[in-house]
Amino acid sequence: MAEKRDQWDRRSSFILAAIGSAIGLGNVWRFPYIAQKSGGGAFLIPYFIALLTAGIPMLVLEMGLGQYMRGAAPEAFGKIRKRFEWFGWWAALLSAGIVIYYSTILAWSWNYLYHSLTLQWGGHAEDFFVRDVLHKSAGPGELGGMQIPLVLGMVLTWGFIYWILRKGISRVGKVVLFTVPIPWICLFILFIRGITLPNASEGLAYYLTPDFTRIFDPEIWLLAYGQIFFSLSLGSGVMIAYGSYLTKKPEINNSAFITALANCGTSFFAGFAVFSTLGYLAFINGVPVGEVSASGSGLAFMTYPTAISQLPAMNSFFAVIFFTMLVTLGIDSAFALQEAFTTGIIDKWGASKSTVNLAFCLTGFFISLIFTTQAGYYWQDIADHYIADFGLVIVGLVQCLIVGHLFGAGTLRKYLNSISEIRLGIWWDIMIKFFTPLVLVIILIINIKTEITKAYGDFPRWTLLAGGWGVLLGFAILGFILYRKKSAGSFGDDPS
Amino acid sequence: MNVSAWIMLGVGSLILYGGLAYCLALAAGLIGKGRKDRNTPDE
Repeated sequence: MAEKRDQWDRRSSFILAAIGSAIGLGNVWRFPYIAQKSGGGAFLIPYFIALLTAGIPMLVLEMGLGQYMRGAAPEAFGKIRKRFEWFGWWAALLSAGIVIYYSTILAWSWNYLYHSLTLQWGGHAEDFFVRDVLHKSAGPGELGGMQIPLVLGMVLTWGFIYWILRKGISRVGKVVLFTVPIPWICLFILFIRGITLPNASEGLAYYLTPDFTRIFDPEIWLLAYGQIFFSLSLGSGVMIAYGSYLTKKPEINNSAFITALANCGTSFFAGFAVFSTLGYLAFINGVPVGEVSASGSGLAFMTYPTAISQLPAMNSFFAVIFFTMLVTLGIDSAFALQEAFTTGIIDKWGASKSTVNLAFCLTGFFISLIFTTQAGYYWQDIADHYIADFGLVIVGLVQCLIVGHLFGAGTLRKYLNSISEIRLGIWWDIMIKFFTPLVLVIILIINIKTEITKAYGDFPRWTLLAGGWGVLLGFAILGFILYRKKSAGSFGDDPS
Repeated sequence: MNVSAWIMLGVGSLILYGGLAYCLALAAGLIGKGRKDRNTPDE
C-alpha cells in the first residue's frame, strides 16, 4: 500500500535542508580559490550580480515548482506536458549519478578523519594522498584493485545515507539540525585558528585585495555564474523535490533568499579560514602565498593537511575539526541528491521509502566501488566533468525555458507572491525567460567548444565516451524507460 | 591588509550577512508585513 506523502514538520526544517544541500565541499574548496584567481575582492561584484540575476531566480523557480506541483522533477515537469516527464527523469538520474561519485569524496574524508587522530600524513600530505590513500594508477585504463579503507569509507557513507533517508523527510528535518550547524562551528574554529597565526593577514590580503581590471574580462563573469549555479545545487532537481514536501501554506521567495545568502555567506567566510591558514603555510615555508594556493581535492587532502601538520600546537584536534567539517558538509548534499531521485520513484509507483532507499543505497554502493580502485580518482573526475558541465547546465537551461515560456513565469510568480514574504517583480520573469537561459547557453557553448578542442584532462577518448557521454546518454535512455513505465495512484494528476 | 581589501570585506559582509539578517528577521515576523495578512490559496 502506498505511504502517505511526507511533509516538512516546520518551515525551518525545509530551509535548513535546502541550505545543507546547497552548502557543500565546493563552498570551502572552490569559491575562495576562484575568487582569489578572479580579481580577489573585485570578484564579489560579478558574483553578487550572478546571485541576483540567476541564482536566486532559479532557486525560487525550483522550490516553487516543486511546491506548486507537489512532486519531484519527473512529476513536476510531467504535469506541465506529459512528455516532459522524461526530461524530469533525466534530471533526477543526474542527481543519482552525482551522489554515486560524490560518495567517493566522502569515503576519502572518512579515511582522513581516522588518520587525523595520528596525523598519518606527517610532512608528506601529497604523497600520502596519492600513494597511501588512492594508490593512484597511471591512468583510468589501469583499474588496479579496490582499496579496502576506501570501501569501508563507502560503507559508512551509504550506511549513513540509508539511515537518514529510510524514515523519509521527517528524519532529514532532524538530521539537518546537526549537519548544517556543525560545519559552521568547525569553520568558525578554523577561522579563529587561522587568523591568529603568523602572516594570516598576508593570506587574507591575497584573498581580498581587489583587481578591478579583471571585472571587464568576460571569463570572470562566466566563472561567477558557474560558481553560483553549481554551488546552489541548481539543475539537479534537489530543490524541486524538497519544495514538493512543503505544507499547504508554504513560503518560497524568502526561503530561497535565505538559502542563497546563507550559502554564499558560508563561501565568503570559508575564504577567511582557508587563506589565513595558507598565509601561515607560505610564511613557514618562506614562499609567496600564491605558491601554496590550491583548490579542490588538492586543497582539502594535500595543502590544508600540510598546513595542519605545521601548526604550532593541537594539530590532531584541528585535523579532526577540518575533516569533520568535510564529512558533515558532504553528507547532507549527498542525501539531498539521492532524495531528488528516490522521491520521483516513490511519487510514481507509491513504493515504500525504506525499500526504495535501501535498493538505491545498495545499487549506489556497488557502482561506487569502481571509485575505490586505483583508477577511481580519474573516473570520478570524468563523471563529475560531464554531469556537472553538460548535464546540469542543460537541465538548468531547459527548465528555465519550460517554466518560463510554456508553463508561464508570470503564472508561477503570481502564485508565489500570494504566499510569500517577499514579492517578486517582473524582473524575475525576465531573468527566467531570457537572461538566465542566455547565460547558460553561453556556458554550454564554451564547454562544448573546449571539449572539441581538447580531450578533457588528456584522458583517452574511450574513457570520456564511457564515463562521460555514455553516462549522459544512458541516463536519457533509462529516463525514457522510467517515463514509459505505467504509474500507480495519482501520479501526474493536475495540481489544481 | 590594504584599504581596498578592507572595503571589499565590509561591502561583501554587509550584503551577504546584512541581507541574510534582514531575510531572517522577515521570516521571524520581526519586520515587514506578517504572513497572516496575506491571501493564501488555502484561505
